[in-house]
Amino acid sequence: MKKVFSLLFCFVFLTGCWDRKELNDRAIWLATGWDVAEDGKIEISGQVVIPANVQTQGGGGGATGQGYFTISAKGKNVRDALQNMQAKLPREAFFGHRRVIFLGEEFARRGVKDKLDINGRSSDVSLRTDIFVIKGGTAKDIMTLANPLEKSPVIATLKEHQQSGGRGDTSYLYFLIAANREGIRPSIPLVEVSKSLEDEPSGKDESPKPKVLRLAGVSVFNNQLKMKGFLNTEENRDMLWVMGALKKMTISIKNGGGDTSIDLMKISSKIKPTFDKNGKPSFTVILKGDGAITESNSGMDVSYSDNLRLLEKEFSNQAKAQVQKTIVKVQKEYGLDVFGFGEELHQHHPKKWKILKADWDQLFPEAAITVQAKIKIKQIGMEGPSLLYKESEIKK
Amino acid sequence: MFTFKKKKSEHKKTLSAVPINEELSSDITKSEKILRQLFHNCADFIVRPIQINGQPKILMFYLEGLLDTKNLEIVLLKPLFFQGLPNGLGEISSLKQIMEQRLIPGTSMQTVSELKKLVEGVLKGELGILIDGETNALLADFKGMEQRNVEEPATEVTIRGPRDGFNESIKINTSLLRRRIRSTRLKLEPIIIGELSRTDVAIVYIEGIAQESLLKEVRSRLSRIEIDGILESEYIEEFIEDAPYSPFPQIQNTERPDIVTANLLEGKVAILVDNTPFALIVPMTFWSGLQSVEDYYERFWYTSFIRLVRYVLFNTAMYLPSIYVALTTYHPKLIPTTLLISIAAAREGVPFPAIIEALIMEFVFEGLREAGIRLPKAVGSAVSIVGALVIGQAAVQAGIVSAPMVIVVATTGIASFAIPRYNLGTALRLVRFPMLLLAGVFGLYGICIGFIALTIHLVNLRSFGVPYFTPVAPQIPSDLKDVLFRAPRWANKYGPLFTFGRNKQRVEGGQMPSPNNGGTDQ
Repeated sequence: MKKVFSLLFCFVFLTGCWDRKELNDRAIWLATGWDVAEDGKIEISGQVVIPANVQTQGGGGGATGQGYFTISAKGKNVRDALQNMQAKLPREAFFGHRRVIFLGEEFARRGVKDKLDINGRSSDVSLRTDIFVIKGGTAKDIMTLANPLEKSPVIATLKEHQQSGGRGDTSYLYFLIAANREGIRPSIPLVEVSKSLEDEPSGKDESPKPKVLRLAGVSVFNNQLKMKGFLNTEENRDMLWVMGALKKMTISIKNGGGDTSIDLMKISSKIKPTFDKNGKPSFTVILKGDGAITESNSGMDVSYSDNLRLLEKEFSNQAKAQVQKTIVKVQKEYGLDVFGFGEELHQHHPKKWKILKADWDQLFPEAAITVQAKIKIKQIGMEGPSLLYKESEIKK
Repeated sequence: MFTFKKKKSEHKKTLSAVPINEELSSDITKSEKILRQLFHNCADFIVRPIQINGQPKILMFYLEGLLDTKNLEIVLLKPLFFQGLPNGLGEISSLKQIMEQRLIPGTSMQTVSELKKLVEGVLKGELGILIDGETNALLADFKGMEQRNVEEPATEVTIRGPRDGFNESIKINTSLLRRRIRSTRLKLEPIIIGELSRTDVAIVYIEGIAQESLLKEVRSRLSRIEIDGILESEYIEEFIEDAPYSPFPQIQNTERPDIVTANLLEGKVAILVDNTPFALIVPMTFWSGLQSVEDYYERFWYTSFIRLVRYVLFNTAMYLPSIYVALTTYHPKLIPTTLLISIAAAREGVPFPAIIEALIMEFVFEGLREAGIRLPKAVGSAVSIVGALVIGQAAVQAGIVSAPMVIVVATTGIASFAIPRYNLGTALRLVRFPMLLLAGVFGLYGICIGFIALTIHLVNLRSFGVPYFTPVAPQIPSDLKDVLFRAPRWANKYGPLFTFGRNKQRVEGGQMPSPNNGGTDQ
């Protein structure tokens, strides 16, 4: 019994506690920015929460200042930079809630292969994080950008990403999967600094028309994880649709006297790889989408199922054309398989893939890719024809 | 140990100095002398010699206050003094017979020949009568002790259900049970425990339902108790439980006759103890600690929901503070970002580590609770006001504790009060502290260790041979009907397997109310 007790005593007093850290000894780090610095160094910038300023409790004066501050430091690599940064930070930086990674454009162009390991190695850091490349800017610049709606602006960026139907906080995971596979090239969402009111000079941070971050599409990386170019927002959606990662999307078509829009809710895709007579790979992409008609400016009465079939066909054609165009653009302009056609080939024809994979960057631009789309209308909204049309003008 | 034994034998010797085991003699003066010697220095011992014209001398004696003297006067003394003895009736030949058959017909009457029994009877509150020339004494029951009325039990309140509760008299308590089960199969086995207190204890069970092995075990465990006095059923509980060092109660106690009756019907055994309203019920399972009697008086949907709530609250009471401490100090990653930021904001400026903060708050809470129970009612409200103000408001505003911690501790406190059995709740409160320390030292890992240790302990516990976690572990699927939820009465044919068995039914099958099932023809 004595032995057991002394053992228990040792358990309690000789172990444990070593990683205990109170919340007020931690600096909650929400976003990390990566930029190039002189002499091949990198510069790490970060956004840290100031808890005292986000206090939501009543009583007292309430929060006056910003809920966050930004900090940056240079170093040979990330840990080195963080070590330099800790010299300016009274609390230990805690990366467990790092929600967003920003990569400066220059940093992304020079390649990230030998830089980002820290994001997977530490047990503190979650892989579930959003990642962006800053179009035409550095990460350090956008760190200071406030958002009028969110206490922490980086979370605003993450939410924008989720709301627009993108990959959200699984972006980094997608990037990692693509980075260590042969049949897909990585892509990272793109943001740029924009204004809340288009085409007007923006005011200061506190003004009603501040600068905001805008999703600007996606950046395309090559095999060596160097950024090669951008796709715009529409092309980004098409790409995500083919990848099967798209959450929501709106398609608009010209329809007689007006135009009609559908909001797609259930979106999926399927890729069927085949080989032509010469043994070259070709693909059929089948896109599917269920949605609701949210706008119908033509006089068409959408309560008739014949009309719906007609619209579905037109939506399908539009989707098909749009996606086909994007695929061709990627094939011609970048020649990088960001869609993951190679992975499909790998899964369906593993033996042939072994021969093909070495030359995939050459083979992909020449692969014949046909797109089929099947859009289904599930809801039509509150009315059949638009109420702005007279009875005689309605097409039944 | 050795000295204790020695003491005990000495104790016995002093008792046996009086010749208590003797037969009564017919000489009344001699008997009186012996009695006076036995009750030496007992100011409440009253002896009344009576002599009525020419008849042998009568000696009446009793203990003051244990006996209804008014009743005694009306029934016995008045007729004896004023009406005199009935004469001319041939069949009555002696004073003793008159006493037995005429004067004390209403009350129970006993003839004893041993001094020991006579003394015992008097100590119980009966009237002793010695008649000169008779070798037998009479014991007449004029008991009229002061006692509490049958009231609603304060500790187990229900919205719906009977309002009567046990009181301190075992006679009344057994009558409350007998009123509920009018069957000769309801058995009350008397046993007297306590060398000095001579407390009446009754083993109550229903013959044919309670299993003989269980009864045997109860009898043998009770008969092994050797103690000077029993003041409460807890005295007995500590002698007969299976795991004396466990913080968890293995014997259920209740003030409510309906709970006892319900358990008797399930084949359990109750132990009633005189001078306390708390009856013991064996065996007890963990789940019966989480069941309230009202579960059986409300609709089964509601009961099933409430049981779910209780299970959640039980775990809340056990783990919430520990989880809070573990998450904030070791695993802030597991808290959603916005919640983390608001907790961090609330903790800003709090001087203590979360574990110390939690311990302080838990201690203060326990203190308040204890003070609330012990203090006189008039002061009690002051305590609650001070507690609410000081702890709820001022401590947070002064920045000594953080608001989330107050919420956590308050939630835990409320959750621990939602457990229907008070003694299971106390076990919970006790175990919470080691759990908190484990969480503070090891984080979630510590909580897991604590959880595993606790579970191992609980599944190992037995109450009179029945595993504590029955019917969950060992699993008895048919008994789960009355644990995880409550099946309607017509759907639950059997009582618990371990105590009730499967060779009889409580409810005949096919009684679900429906138009096709019985009912009168219209």
